[in-house]
Amino acid sequence: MASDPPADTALTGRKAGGESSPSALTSSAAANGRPVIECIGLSKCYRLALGYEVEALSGLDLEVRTGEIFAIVGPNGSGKTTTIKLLLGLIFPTGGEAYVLGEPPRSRRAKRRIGFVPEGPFFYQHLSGEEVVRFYGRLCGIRGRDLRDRADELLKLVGMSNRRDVVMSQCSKGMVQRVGLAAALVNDPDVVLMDEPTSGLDPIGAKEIKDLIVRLRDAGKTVLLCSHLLEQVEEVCDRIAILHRGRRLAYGPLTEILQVKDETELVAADLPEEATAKLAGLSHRAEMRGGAHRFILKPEAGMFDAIEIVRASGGQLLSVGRIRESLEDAFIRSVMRTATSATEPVSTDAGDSTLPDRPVEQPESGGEPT
Amino acid sequence: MREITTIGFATFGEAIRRRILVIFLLFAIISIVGSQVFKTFSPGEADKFVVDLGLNSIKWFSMLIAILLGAVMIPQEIERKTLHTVLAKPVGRGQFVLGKFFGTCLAVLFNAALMGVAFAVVYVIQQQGKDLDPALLLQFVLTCAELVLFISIIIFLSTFASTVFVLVVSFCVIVLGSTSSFLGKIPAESWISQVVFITIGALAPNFEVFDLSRAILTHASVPPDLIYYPLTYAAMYTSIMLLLSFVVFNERQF
Repeated sequence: MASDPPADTALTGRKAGGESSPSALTSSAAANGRPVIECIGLSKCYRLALGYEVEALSGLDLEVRTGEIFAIVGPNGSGKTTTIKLLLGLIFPTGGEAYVLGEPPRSRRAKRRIGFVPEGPFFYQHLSGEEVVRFYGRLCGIRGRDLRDRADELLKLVGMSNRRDVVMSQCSKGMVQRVGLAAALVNDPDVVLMDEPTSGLDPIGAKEIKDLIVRLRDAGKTVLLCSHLLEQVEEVCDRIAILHRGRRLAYGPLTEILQVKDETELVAADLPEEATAKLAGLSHRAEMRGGAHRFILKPEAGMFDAIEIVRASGGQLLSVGRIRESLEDAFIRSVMRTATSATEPVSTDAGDSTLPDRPVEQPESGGEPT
Repeated sequence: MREITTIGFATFGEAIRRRILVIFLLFAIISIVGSQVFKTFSPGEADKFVVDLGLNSIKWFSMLIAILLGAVMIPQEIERKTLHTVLAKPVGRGQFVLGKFFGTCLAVLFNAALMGVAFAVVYVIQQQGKDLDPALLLQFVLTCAELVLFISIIIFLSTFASTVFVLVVSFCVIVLGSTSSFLGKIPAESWISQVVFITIGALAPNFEVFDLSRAILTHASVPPDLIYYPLTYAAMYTSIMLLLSFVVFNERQF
């Protein structure tokens, strides 16, 4: 899919249906100083039987800026899909406001510039991949030759050009996901909302989708991605919001959210046994991974001493440096901190009122929405 | 308008591929063609038998098809979340409802037309080459109007209710619609039941206004008001149902 350079025109190309230029809308949002997507205290409660309510989203504040890949991560039931539905106007907020391209979620003007890839998309079963793309293109006001060309470009882009005539009822999950992506991009959107876009895909398919997301950003699109697959998100996104039980636990650039640990990792290959033993003595963890030795050095061990051991033994130093925590680590840390705050007894001392009623935020470089 | 026709044609394409619909269509055509065989059971009234069975087959099988299609159209889109991808495009909720209505009407009327052709062939054979009675064509037009009205009720129900509920209520609507002129005349034991009967009779569609069978069987000419009144009635009832559908669907959350 990604190895098809001509298809890249599909990401940068024409404007759908003779409508106002998408970049005009985006730039107007930017010119107003407004982000592409904006949530201000966005809340959603679902009413259940007997008067019970479930709070799916609670006071979410976030901004997604032009040309970035923003990810909302969190476990199932954290409010990711609820956020997407609110941004698409499929459900209505019980509190707060949301804007996409400076317009309310149900604005058809904004929807001309939005692409949406749902989790496990389902299309009319009698339509082929090409017909599905054309169907959504017609809904966006694209007609005739423009539509035909657009469908060709997009099917090539998502690697479906050779299987364009396969009807949906005979498509694999991965093929349906690819067609869903093409259908979402048919109107050359400025903003692409993706809900678990790699769901059900094999590793190659998932890699292709990740590459495509990056190419979308490179083509100037803004991508809002919801996923619980933290590793995949970590590879592509610029900024994230971590949600848990409808609350925002962390928010900001990935580089700021992922803390640098006070640990040094050394990876080396072709080490003789003696050197391996010496390095193991300096480490509190040593393992073989992919034919290379990996050592997590003790805090008191000197990094340069360890490097000297590798050099003297004739081994090959592959990497050395401080360890940055993974997104998974950051997520678990955020959740655990919230859980700890929640179980801490509330002080009756009037002077001790520092117990937060909302999770502690990560420091941000971009500033909060106002 | 283009959005409506796009959704409508996609709905039509999906609908006509349903096996259950083909089965009902076959049953209807067998029933119409079979009237040639079974007319021997009513000697002297062969014409009446063929016309009765033919027209009733077209009407009732089309209504069954309308129920089975209309009851699943919108709930299935919500359940399968196809609706999410459609409403994520610049498509209004009203346009979506109209598109579904349009597509369902196309599918049902397409099937009714096929049954109508089968009936016309059987009728011409029965009449030994005589031309079709114009009243039969008018009856077919009125049956189509009746079906459109009925579909609008089903679409309205399906904007807020589950498939099973729509199925059950649609059958009730058929019963009430076929007996609505009697409902207000039923002797009630209390004033409450009298009010209930009158209210239901007033709200339920009156399918009897679409019936021209008396004129057809007596070969009498059909007065214009027997055509204009039901057509106006169908147009107004359908408009109200679609308006209610917009209002309800506009407030729904998916």
